[in-house]
Amino acid sequence: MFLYELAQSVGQDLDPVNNCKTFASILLARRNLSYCGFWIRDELMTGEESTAARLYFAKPKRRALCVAVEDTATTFPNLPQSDIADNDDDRFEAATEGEVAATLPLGKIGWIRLRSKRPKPLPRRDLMQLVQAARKLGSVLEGAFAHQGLLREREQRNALEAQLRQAQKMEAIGRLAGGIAHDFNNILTSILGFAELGLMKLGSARNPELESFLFEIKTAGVRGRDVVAKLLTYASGNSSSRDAIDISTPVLETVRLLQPTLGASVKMRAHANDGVPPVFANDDEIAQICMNLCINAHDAIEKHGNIDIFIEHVWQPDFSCASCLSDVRAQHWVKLAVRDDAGGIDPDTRAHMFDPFYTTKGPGGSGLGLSTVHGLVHQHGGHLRVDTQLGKGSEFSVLLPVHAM
Amino acid sequence: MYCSFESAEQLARDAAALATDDNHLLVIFLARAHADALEDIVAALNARGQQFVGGVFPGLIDGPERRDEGFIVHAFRCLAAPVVARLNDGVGWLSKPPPAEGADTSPTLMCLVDFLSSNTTQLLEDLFERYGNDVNYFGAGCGHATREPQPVVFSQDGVFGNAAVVVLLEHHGNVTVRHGWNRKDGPFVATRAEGNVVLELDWEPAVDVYRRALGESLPAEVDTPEALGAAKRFPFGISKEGAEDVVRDPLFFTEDGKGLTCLSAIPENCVLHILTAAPEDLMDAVAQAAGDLRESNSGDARHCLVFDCFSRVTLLADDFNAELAKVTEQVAPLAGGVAPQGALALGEIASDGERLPEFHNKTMAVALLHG
Repeated sequence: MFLYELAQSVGQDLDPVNNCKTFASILLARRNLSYCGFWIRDELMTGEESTAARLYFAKPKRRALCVAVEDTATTFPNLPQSDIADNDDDRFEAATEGEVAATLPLGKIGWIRLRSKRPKPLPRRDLMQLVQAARKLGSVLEGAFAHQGLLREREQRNALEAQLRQAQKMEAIGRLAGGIAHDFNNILTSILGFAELGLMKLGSARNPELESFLFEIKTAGVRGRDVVAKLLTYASGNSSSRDAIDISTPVLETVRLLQPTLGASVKMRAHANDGVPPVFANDDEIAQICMNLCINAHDAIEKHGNIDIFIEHVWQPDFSCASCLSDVRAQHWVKLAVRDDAGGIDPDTRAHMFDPFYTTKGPGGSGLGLSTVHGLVHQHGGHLRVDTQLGKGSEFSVLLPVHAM
Repeated sequence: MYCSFESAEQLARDAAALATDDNHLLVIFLARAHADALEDIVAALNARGQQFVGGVFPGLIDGPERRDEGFIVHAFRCLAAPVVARLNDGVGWLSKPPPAEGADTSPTLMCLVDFLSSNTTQLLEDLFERYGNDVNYFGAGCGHATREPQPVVFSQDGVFGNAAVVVLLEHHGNVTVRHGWNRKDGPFVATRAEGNVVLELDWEPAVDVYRRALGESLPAEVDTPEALGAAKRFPFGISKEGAEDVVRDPLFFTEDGKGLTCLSAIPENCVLHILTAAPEDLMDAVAQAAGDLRESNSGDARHCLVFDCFSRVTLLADDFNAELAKVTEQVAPLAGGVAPQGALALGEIASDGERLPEFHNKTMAVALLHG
């Protein structure tokens, strides 16, 4: 009598959990059972050959006795359906006092475990019905798992495509920037050289107005050279000398230099853990990374605020790099984190903040700070994490590989 | 203890006198005649620093007597402070339900729920998921028989509508639920149902099938009080293996005259029967309930609570007082002579945790609480 309701309850949803949930609810409610657990073979979930199985869904969960078995052949003897007619009781075993338990195959994908407080097993006819309903659920779940697999695959493919697009964009911008920087450098060399010559020619001749013009040309040229240097850094055009260093030294030095320039309204504190292993890096470049992140944090703070800098040796689980978007496997890193308690970063800014020339600072910003950080960190074999919450603040973490001694 | 109601302050004073222990919690059943004073009652009890839960009911049961006024209050030892679940959209707990730990024997979970809520089934599934067979479940639907949406359950957190209050009582309970209804016609499959409304039976408009099954018993016009009165005498029963059918009380016909709205959810594709009962069948439920309790009772019960469906008052008419007298006569001896007290409920809950707790209609739920 209940078969119709049970059969209709499955297959109305593509989510395997919802199918199990509905099936279990009806089974428990109409059949007066006290527990229903769905076990799925590991090989269905992982695609690898295995004799193990896992508890996929149980109602009520708190009555589940275990959640995984290694050997399904002994735990769930896969009785053919014809056995039911010979001996109904084979399906049942004593679970606890006054309780019986049954195991029914869930098609080819797993098993259903049932428990019930009743004096005697289910009648044969009911058991046959349950076997049929379980078989139908099995085939529905198989389809639902396949659908989930497709969804997962599509998500992974989308993520990979996004990574590829980001990498191609960064590379193209890098090449463009590198090319421009190279040509621009030649022009700047001429400008600076001729400005210098002009100053020399002027010598002691008293022409203060002309002298100030030439100084302005020279100053602007030097500024232009700095921009070019940043572009070359982003474009991986610079190769610096590196050693196994303790990054605390350049970072603490940077903090010491920056502190007086921030004003009284912003408090900057550095927290360097003991025993942080060395990284293979360049002191100046680490200082440059720290400087850029601290300047950004300072600019994000409107009036009063705090900037905290942490240097730690950490175990970082799997994550996606915030700038190159690649998936990074779990490992130990040396972490340089700069945390502020400003207003956080909105999603639109997050999407573009590592692009060169992208700035939220108006005409005053070059838009090269974070792209320089991106370039330097990745040249060091590192990655970036950004944790931000609107209204709460942001933390930029530079993760650098530990140098193997 | 039954008390007449004079004021919120008097209720708080009388109730507080029962709470002699720090972990005593007051369970209050308030007659709907005093529902206007609910806010004041909560304030007065809170002013005394009491832990309490309660509900508004269409009537009260005080041993063999039915009361339309006053309140019933009991002090029970509780395992944790009561929790409130809002049922507007699924089940939203205001605070995390506590674990059922700290009692020597399995405790009793008492649940008072607004009977108008459409998420009662979800609530009971949620509770079963959390507590399984670690507890016995006992409770009732509260509200006004007029079906006006109003705040009807309360605790120290306030008064709530479309919500439930849940508390774990330290007392072990023997619980049972019985109705006495018999199958008249069926089986039918609810081929289309939405929440509490059964729209189709066996792929036909539900009312057509219902009318065919009842023949002359159902007047031709379905939107008349007579038709509704007839429907009350022929509820639906959801089939359940090895147990009495779960009764679903038809409340009214849908506007198009094709569907029937019931007191609680009718799952789509479930198997139904149309039920009927003579007054003596309904009263047999008392003997059946007493029999269940006699079988499971360990003999040291000190409290006896009863929730009898409000619709049974109409169905049994003058016999209803006889039913209450029978309950007292048969159940009180199992509770050391303590007369059963409780309320006329709008839905009943009773389960030993070995099966999904259900929200029953037109039944009588009885609990013996020990220690």
